[in-house]
Amino acid sequence: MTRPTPGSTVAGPAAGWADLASLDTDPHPVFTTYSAGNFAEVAPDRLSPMSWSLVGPPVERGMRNVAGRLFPRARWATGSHFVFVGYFSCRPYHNLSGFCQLAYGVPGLDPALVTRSYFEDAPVPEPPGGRPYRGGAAVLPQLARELLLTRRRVGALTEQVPQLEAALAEARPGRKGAPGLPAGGGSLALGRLLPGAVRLLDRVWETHYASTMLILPLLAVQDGVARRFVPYWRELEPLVNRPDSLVWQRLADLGAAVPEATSFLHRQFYEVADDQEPWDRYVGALGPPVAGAETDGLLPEDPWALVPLSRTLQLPRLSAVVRIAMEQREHTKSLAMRTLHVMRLVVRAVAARRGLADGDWPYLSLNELLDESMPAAQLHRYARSRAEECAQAIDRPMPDLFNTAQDGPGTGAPEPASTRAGVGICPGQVTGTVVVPGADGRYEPGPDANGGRRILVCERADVQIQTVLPHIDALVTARGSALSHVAILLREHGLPSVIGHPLARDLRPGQEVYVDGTTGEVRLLA
Amino acid sequence: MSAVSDGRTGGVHEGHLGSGPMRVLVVGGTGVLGAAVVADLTRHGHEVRVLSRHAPAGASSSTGAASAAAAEWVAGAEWVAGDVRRPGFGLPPADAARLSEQTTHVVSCFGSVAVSEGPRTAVDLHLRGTQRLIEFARGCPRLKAVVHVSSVLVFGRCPGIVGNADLQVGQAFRNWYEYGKFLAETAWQEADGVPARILRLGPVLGADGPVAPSTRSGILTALPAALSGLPLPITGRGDFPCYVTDSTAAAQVVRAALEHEPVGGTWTWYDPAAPTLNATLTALCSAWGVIPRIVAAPGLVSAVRLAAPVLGLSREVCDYLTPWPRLAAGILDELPVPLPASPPRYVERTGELLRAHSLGLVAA
Repeated sequence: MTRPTPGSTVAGPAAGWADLASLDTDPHPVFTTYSAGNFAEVAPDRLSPMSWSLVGPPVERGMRNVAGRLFPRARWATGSHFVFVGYFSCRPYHNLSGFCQLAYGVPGLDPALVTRSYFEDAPVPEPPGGRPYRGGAAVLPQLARELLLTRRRVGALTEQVPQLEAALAEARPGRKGAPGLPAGGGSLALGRLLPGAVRLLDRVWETHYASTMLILPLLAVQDGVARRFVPYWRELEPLVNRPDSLVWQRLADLGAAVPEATSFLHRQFYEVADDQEPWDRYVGALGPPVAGAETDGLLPEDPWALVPLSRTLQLPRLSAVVRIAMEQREHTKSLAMRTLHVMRLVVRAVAARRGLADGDWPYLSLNELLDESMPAAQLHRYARSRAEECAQAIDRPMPDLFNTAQDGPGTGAPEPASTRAGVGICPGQVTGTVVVPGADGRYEPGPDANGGRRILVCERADVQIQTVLPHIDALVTARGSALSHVAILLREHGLPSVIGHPLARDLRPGQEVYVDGTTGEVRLLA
Repeated sequence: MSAVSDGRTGGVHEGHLGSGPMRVLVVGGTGVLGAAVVADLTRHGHEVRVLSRHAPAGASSSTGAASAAAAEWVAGAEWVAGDVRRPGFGLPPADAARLSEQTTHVVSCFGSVAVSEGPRTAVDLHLRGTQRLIEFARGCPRLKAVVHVSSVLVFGRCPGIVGNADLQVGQAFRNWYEYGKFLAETAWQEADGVPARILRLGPVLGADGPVAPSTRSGILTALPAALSGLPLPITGRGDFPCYVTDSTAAAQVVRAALEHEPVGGTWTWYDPAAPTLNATLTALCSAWGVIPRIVAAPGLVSAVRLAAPVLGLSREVCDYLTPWPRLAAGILDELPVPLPASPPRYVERTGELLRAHSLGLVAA
């Protein structure tokens, strides 16, 4: 069998996928495995079409740019189908097959590291045609160049996003007109921000996903060297890879001093229509961001000094690069959130200028909204028709992981199951009492049983967990990813945590358990 | 300085705290030193409870140590299965309360002595365990004294001469074991209101204790390389002290540290003969009839580290092939006299014991 390319007939969507709503993306004919595991920790369960158009297509464009630079001859990263993301029944997905294809292309990078780090340890999909794509050794210098390029881009975006925010503040109704913007602000002034904001959003997403991707080859190299020479590497890794600057902690600190500067943290990530029916149903209570833990001063200033041979092997330098990459990833994620927050206002303003009702624009894509050839009345009819489709789509249960070549939509394909017993993602040992999320899925601090330590146990943690972090002492989940947003938050807070542990589904409130966030051990004591 | 009774016959020091037997909780009584302490205390009529995660299987110690000493060690004490890292040691509340109520003295000698351990051992065992023990000590109404067993390696690599009053001397730690000992000692020094004394020891050898030393920890990890017949590069040919001691002598010093008042401060103990690293390795190897080929080759340190597995060395022990901390002259004079005597030829006899019972440890 020859290597398939998009558009070939090697695999095709299962029958049910032919009946998709018009708002859904077409399933990729070759890369057929989709996972919501990474989106699910940050994004709501369902995204409005407008929000999808601000997330999916820019991410796809950004990923294609990155893939094109790494693998200039890879035709699989082109074509008319989405290769890296998907949108089915209003639910955002990553194309797991596409991301694993990228990993196959990097020498020495195991696609299992991709699924473990970002996709809840889901099984690695079979490569198209059964033959993994190989990018060749030329990828390695390009990865190094990409790392430098990303660093420069992050620097530029760090200036550009605040400039956009400042322009937004100037353009809001009631404000005096800023240079280049009509006096009096208002929807016209806000609308003029849109083209620049769209271009910025593309760059932010591309840089964020490039940062995310680059971490994995770095970790693979670091892991390969360190595991051979450092017998306790698993314990040391979280300590030496902890970013010097904790992005979310810095934002929380800033929010305490200047609340409006971090107001985006109070809004649902990824959903710009988070105050509109039906999208507000999927919005969790984020609450105020909370500061993470300072390092407790128990660790030496330079942990590598205690590791024989580390300097000879350049391990401290390598971990410094990993730390920078981790920090860049979180920083670009926060820049994406900020840019989307600007979009919340700008899109509304453009819709108002076009004479659309406030309930219409969430059902349109950004391109549709900007299509001046379409009269407002037609846009309104289009939005209403889309609203009916969305109402049906969001009632359809969608699995977290599915293969379009095998599973029909809404058939309840099996949930991703960790192939391991549990992964420690934040070191430390805690013995405490089990508490669980409230019945409505929201996190509550829970009873302070016996005055002891509290261990939150749940199926999967999402971004809403940030409100409860100060009230718990450890976390155990049945599902999760080692480099997910939640994992980053947990590390910032220094909370011993184990993800993907099967015992999480059996533990009950009040039970006493031992949690080892270093080794991934969870043990029921009483 | 003069010695008192032989460790095997025991000797009671001056300055006993109170009258009658002590009710001692030994935390970590299954290691080389802990077992010797338990045996010494029970031999002297004290009531001993040992807190350990796992009680020894029985008198037939798997270590191959003298069966009589092992039997005395196991039978003479009450074994309490608990974890020093857990609140209340993970004991049922009634048992924990009874332990607090009855304990008059505590010996803290838990923790790994393996220099290849990582940060988890340093922080979560040495430090968190010490913090739990301090909490426990604060809750003991009859507590008279705590002895925390530390190490001369708490000074890591440091310039100059160090003494009992020193702790933070700008040292650089070679590994997480040293750092863990430093953290634990710091915790005890900051534990206001607890009558605690710190006792710093060097590597514990000896053939007379209930538990035999292991070639998996401390300077004994260098033994396979010393026996290999290959050149073993050590700075200055190892002509610097490595502060070894015999376990039975060290156990007597622990008992003295419990009994002597006023409680507080820091003591240091090692064999007053202060054999050098070269002499210690040579004596250990004598059981095999081998003289180790110790060479002075300072430029080879990094190369030896890289090639350590080939040479039969653990990479971590390579860091101890350079001079150890320089302890102040007369540091042993701060101990109450009389001092215990180390059994004759205890280093050589340690080698003989290891030769008899350490599988695979053969000379080239």
